[in-house]
Amino acid sequence: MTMPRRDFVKTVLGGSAALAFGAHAAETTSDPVFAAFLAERARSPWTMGFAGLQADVEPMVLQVEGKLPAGLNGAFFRNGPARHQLGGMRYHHWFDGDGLVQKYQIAGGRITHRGRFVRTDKFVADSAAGRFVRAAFDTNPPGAQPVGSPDAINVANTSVVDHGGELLALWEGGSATRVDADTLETKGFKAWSDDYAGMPFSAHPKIEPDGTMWNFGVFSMRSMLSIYRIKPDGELAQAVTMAVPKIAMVHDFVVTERHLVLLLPPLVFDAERAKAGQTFLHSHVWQPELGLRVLVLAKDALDKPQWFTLPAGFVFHLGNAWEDGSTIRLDCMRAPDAWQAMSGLEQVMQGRFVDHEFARPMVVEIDLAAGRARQNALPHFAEFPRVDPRVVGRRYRALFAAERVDAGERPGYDAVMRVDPETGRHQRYRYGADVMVEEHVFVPRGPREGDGWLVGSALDLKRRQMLLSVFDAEHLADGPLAQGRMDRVMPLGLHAIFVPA
Amino acid sequence: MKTFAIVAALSVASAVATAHDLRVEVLNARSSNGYVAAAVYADGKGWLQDGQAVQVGRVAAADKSVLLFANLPAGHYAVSLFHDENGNGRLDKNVMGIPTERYGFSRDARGPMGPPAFADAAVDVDADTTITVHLQ
Repeated sequence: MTMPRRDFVKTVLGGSAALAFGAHAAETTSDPVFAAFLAERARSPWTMGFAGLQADVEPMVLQVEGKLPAGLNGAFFRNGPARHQLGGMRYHHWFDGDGLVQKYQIAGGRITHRGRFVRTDKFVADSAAGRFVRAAFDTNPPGAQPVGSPDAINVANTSVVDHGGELLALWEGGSATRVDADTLETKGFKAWSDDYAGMPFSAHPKIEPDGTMWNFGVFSMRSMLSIYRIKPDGELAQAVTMAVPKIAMVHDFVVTERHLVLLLPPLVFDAERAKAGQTFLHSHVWQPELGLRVLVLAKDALDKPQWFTLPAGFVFHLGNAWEDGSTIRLDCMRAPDAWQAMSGLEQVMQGRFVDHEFARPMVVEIDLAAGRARQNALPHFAEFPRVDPRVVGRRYRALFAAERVDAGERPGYDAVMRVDPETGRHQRYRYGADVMVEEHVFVPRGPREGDGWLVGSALDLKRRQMLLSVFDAEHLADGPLAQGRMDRVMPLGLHAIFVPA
Repeated sequence: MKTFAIVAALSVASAVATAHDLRVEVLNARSSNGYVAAAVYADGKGWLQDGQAVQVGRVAAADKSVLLFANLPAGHYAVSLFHDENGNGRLDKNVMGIPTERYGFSRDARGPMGPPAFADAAVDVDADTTITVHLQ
């Protein structure tokens, strides 16, 4: 094989780039990340989940096996980074990509899938230029435009929330983006108030049983933390911003009846690195001597933070939390370090899998009276924790997650699990090593917590199909009650919700 | 005496000839509400400081808003402008001081998390000149 690399790249890309946004589809690349990914594609089927898309996704009806429950009607929405390359350049990190909102509509025994990119300002500017002209989370394209505000680089790629009659596509460094739930058309950035327009709004708001939505936002450049309380009708009730020393990468949080709890991994933002031209991600420095800081804020006294410390570790996601007398109990998915965030998810963009310890479910207790926090690991490797929406902030006995059982030499998950955080009692359904499992969400059915369906999508690498599975959430091991399949591959996404019809 | 008259006549002519118009076309407004307000600064003096602009102007916002700054002596100028969508007379900002209304500068210059330097936004006005600014 004497074909020069550039020609090789051109050949491999062939027609796949033809439908790109912007006039200048990638045909050749001198980008080493792109070249590495192309070189790995043939021998690593899992890379199909990270190849990305260049265009919106037209409606397609899934072939359903089994019987969809009669009571399950609505839309399963998933957001995730989906355009990973443009103009011959490939993003360096999974979290860089432009958000694609996918919708699996379940109605009358049928499942129809479609997807549409969120038209953020960045998406529009990059598409018009035919190349990345604005920075991303971990990619600073050569000659990129200066960034005047967080929303200039907002990719709306992390999650979706349905609240106050609006569907919002969420990032974490800037505004929420309003999306039409029927057409998936982009309706612009959400401004909660004049003062809080354009402010960071995390991708993990928590909606309490009464409909109140809490969220936070991290403004790294100024080491500031904002807290939002939003009424059930979507109106902002309260927003405050406080200085937090050594602000860290914080992706998620939990609420209880009386408190908000944030876990600050010792991955600390250094503004000097950012000013010197480092990417946003690599402006963060691992400082394990800080431990994992636990910030507890009373809902009625947000200006009186309480701090606790756990052993150093890295956390993206938390499941839930509740008040047990003067103790707060919560769960999180904790990795020993930030390797996945800092390196592992860069490797996957180059088509490379490097085995490194995955996150484990961790049960944490914060003794407010004694000023002490403790943690206990559950014997699983898992991510994407979810609970019954009716128990947010309340005692809970069912935590659902994507689990890594025996996935082999590839990233991601091969099973779904349910565990009782109090007893450790566990059940799972294993899709198999050839199926990459995305986040599954709980949909209530009967009156009890955990009585419902678990719904989620997955990528079948062997059949090059996307699956949408519906489980009886009390009997995961029995396998899906119904499963839809479609003959197309979607980029692996992040977070999902189910919105009942 | 004759020589002096010629010189005087020349200098009058050149004073007239070196006053030029700067036409600023403003694109990319989010809506047609309110005004586009602009200020022109000369030679880096008092760049973006209150009361230091050599001319200011405003015009109703439109798909393409046009501002005309007449009779500018030949020189180096930079324009700062914003879309005062709610017509409150100022560039609205959020709690972190980040503008929440669109703004722009000549040459579409931008600074990192702040305004650009005068030199990055400056244009030479040595003839009648039209520039385009995209609101960001």
